[in-house]
Amino acid sequence: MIFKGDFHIHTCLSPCADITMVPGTVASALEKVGTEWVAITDHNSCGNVKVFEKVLNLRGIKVMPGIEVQTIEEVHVLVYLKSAKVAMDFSNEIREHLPDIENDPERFGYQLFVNKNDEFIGMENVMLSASTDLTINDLWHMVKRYNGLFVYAHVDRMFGVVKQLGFIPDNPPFDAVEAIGNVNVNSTILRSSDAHSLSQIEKAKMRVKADSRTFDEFRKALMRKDMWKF
Amino acid sequence: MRTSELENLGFKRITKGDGELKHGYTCDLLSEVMANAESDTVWFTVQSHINVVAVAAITGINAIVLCNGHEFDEETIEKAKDEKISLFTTSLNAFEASGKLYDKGLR
Repeated sequence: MIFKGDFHIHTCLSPCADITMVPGTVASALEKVGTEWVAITDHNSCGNVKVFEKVLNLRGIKVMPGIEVQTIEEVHVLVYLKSAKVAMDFSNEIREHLPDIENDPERFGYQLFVNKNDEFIGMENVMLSASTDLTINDLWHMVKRYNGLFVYAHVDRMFGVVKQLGFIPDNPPFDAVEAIGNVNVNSTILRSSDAHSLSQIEKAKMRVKADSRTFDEFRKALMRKDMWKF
Repeated sequence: MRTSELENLGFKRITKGDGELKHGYTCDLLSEVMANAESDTVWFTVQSHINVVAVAAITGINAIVLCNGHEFDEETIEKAKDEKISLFTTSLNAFEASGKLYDKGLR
């Protein structure tokens, strides 16, 4: 089957995302544009993955657990993980690598946890917009320990690997890249919305050929390059 | 001036190498450095990823000064030896370190 996918979406947990990015409204926005498969990828946390998975699933949209980690080189890396449980374990370990700085929500944005009824149930106090103390290599090793996928985010934009480091380093062996323009790589190139607000949820740019919408099927399609940009 | 003068200014030499220094450049975004740095430059940064060496080699940067007390990893040092790029470290921040060379007339 061919699925329409958007594998980079933020929620109200990301400080720079709109507080309207709650499960119910995000589900409606995705329904409107016909997206069937998404990845929830907040900055340095998976705290809202589980609730989004639950609510979107009821609306017929499958969620792949993810996170957008900022390395010490200030490079953004998307990590995709097998389940919400694994994602939470991964997220807890990432937390240990964040600086002990309290978020100032008025200055940097609110970092909100939400429930299935779109109600805010708490706030993340640690500043998620900071860099972890992990190098790209450290992060890659950690991702592989969790059997996750390591994808350079928006390589050709700010905080993308090409912008930060001039070009994509030979090591570590990344699984894919996300890009807006053309990049000269052998891996699959993903194009996603990186939506921080409802209006940024647009028609899905990716088509994925897979048997079903699971992490394992996504991984297989990524390796087979059975996905392409529209 | 020559890269050896950086030692006299108090920067700690990490790898050997010699070269002319006519310009200075201070930036942590490697894409910017690649696009804008001139050859025979001393580069001040806090970025220690191995790619700094390749960027230096491509642009003709002869010396890299890693500021703010950061340290190069072994991989970066080995690559710099291969490419004959002089690596230095300093506890000064990039502004203070750059200022020392600005004082000496580098632009």
